[in-house]
Amino acid sequence: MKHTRAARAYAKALLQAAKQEQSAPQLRQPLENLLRTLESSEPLRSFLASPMIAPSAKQEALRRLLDENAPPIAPAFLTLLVERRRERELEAVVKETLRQLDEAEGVERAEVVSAEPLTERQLEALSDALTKAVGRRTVLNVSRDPSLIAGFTARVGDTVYDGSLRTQLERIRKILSQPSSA
Amino acid sequence: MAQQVRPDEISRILRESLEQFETEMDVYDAGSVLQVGDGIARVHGLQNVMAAELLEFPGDVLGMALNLEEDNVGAVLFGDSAHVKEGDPVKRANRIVEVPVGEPLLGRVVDPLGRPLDGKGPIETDMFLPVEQKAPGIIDRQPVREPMQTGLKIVDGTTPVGRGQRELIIGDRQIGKTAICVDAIINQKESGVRCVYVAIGQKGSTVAKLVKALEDNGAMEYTTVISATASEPAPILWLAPYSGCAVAEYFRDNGMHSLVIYDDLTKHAWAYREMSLNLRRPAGREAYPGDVFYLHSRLLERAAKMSDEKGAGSMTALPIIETQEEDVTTYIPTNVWSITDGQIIMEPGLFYGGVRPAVNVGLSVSRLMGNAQTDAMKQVSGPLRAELARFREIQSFAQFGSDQLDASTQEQLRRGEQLTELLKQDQFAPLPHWKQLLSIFAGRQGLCDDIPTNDIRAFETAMHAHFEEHETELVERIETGEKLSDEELDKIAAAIENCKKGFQAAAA
Repeated sequence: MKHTRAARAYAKALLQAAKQEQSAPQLRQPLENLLRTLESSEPLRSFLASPMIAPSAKQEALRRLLDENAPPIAPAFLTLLVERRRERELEAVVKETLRQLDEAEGVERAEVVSAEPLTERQLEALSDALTKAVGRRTVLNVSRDPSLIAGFTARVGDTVYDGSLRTQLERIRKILSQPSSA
Repeated sequence: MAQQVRPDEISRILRESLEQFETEMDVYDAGSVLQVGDGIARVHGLQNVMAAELLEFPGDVLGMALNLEEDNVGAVLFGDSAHVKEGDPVKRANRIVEVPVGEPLLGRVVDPLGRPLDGKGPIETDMFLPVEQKAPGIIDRQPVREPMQTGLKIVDGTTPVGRGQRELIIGDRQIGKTAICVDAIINQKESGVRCVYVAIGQKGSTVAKLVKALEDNGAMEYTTVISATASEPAPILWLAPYSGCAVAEYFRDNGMHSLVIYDDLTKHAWAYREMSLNLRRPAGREAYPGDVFYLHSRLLERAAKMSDEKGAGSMTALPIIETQEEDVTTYIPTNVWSITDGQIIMEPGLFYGGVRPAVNVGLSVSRLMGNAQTDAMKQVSGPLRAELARFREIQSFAQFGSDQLDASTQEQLRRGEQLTELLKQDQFAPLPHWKQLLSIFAGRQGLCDDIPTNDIRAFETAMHAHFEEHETELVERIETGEKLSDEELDKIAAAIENCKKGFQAAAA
């Protein structure tokens, strides 16, 4: 969390610049792809973190990683980021930019974890229910965790909607281990 | 425990318990642990958490949100931090830290979160109070007017404590600070004052011994012991006096009287220092955080005498401070000193010289003095404090040879010795008001000047027995606490003289 302050400032600047060029919505796809690449590639991260590698090489590499149809502001931004020696915080900056983009578009992200894979219909129903509960359009990020045993949990912001069997069993354990007054 | 356990009985209980269970979806606010260590956790998320809100960590560990920062929340853990890992979910409990209060707590030993430690089963009360509460305002209070008898002649005679007062007890280790408080608790058997004893950072064995002493003297029935022993993490020690205060506050706010003892606030300040440094709060003098004064002032300010409209209840506080090498000028002692309405200063020199309770009369004060005494006691003990203080002064220079002293100084010396002897008192033997008054009266009027110093305490006992047997009318008169007329004083003096004759004849 150390880098959040800088990340926030860079993200805000990028979005403002993009908004002037009316290219903010087009930023999402290339940034999401970039984030995925970053998260999956340890060598890329150490490449960016290494002070031994010349900034120009990093700039070149990042430019190539970007999608071809990315708006021109994106490569320019990455060049600036490296110039300012903030390339280590790239991941945080990209995440923060996506978050601010969501906020501007009125979209909520829900982290859904389920024990079993959910069907299309279930996902749709869940998304609708969450949209109703939160009051804003909710997009789901789904993952699986068999340790929930059954059911699912959905997390929107800080609020957790917990319908997992694991939590219910835990609650039963608490009730039964209470010294009964009878 | 030889009860027959029937399987259908168990099924019934389980069924009943399970009926409480609803298969609804749980909706709660949660964050995740960023960092944990030193009894502190930094939590990401929890945007809407309240200050001092209870948090639930995995493994039934509770915590309390303290530092609300821009992108994280600093929380202290009331339990073993070994169970908590980075990335663990943290649930908001949606309630401020609170403790159970009320009559069911009397006779119990609990931890600062109100969980029983004495193995006597759950505490059956549905009343809870937040541990941190604002002190009553000016309108809700009234001046202290009734005495809170400690049963100790030297305290009730020279530095009396009133109901709603805060009197600091300060001194080195092992010279009877706690003993004064235990005697004060034992003395509340008849008075209806509910007692709360808060042990902060003490040895478990010491607390067990104290509970045993209270039980043996029948004082546990109206006492709650809040125990946070030295093995507990700092946040638990820090919380202890506040929860003790909340327990006592319940009685105060319901028109009853309570006495709360914080033993001791030095260790409390240490615990808070540890916590604050771990929370990365800036350190000040002696590495205490900047708000260490507020830490104690907001606690002691909750002791009060409530107005008649508010039920006229009271809460008296006896904070204890332990000094090192009699140095009272360090940070914490001077802070608490300036918050309280007076102090009882204990001295190792007196203690080892056999003067017990080892109260230094010259330096001890009660800023309420007369308002905390009965009229009769005020009348009889009036200048006792000044006389004793003067005696100690003369005594210190008389050591260099008393034969050249003039007659009146020698007289003062003699009287002072007699008074000092009369004010000595055994532990666990608090005296009722009338016995104290008689002893102080006899000493101050010079009625026992002709009794050898070594026999004085035997005479005192004989005198009390004599009055109990033969002078019940006078005893009843004194117990009303009203001002005594000259004739009544003469009558008391005559009765003491009478008893003295018998005592001297028996001794000869």
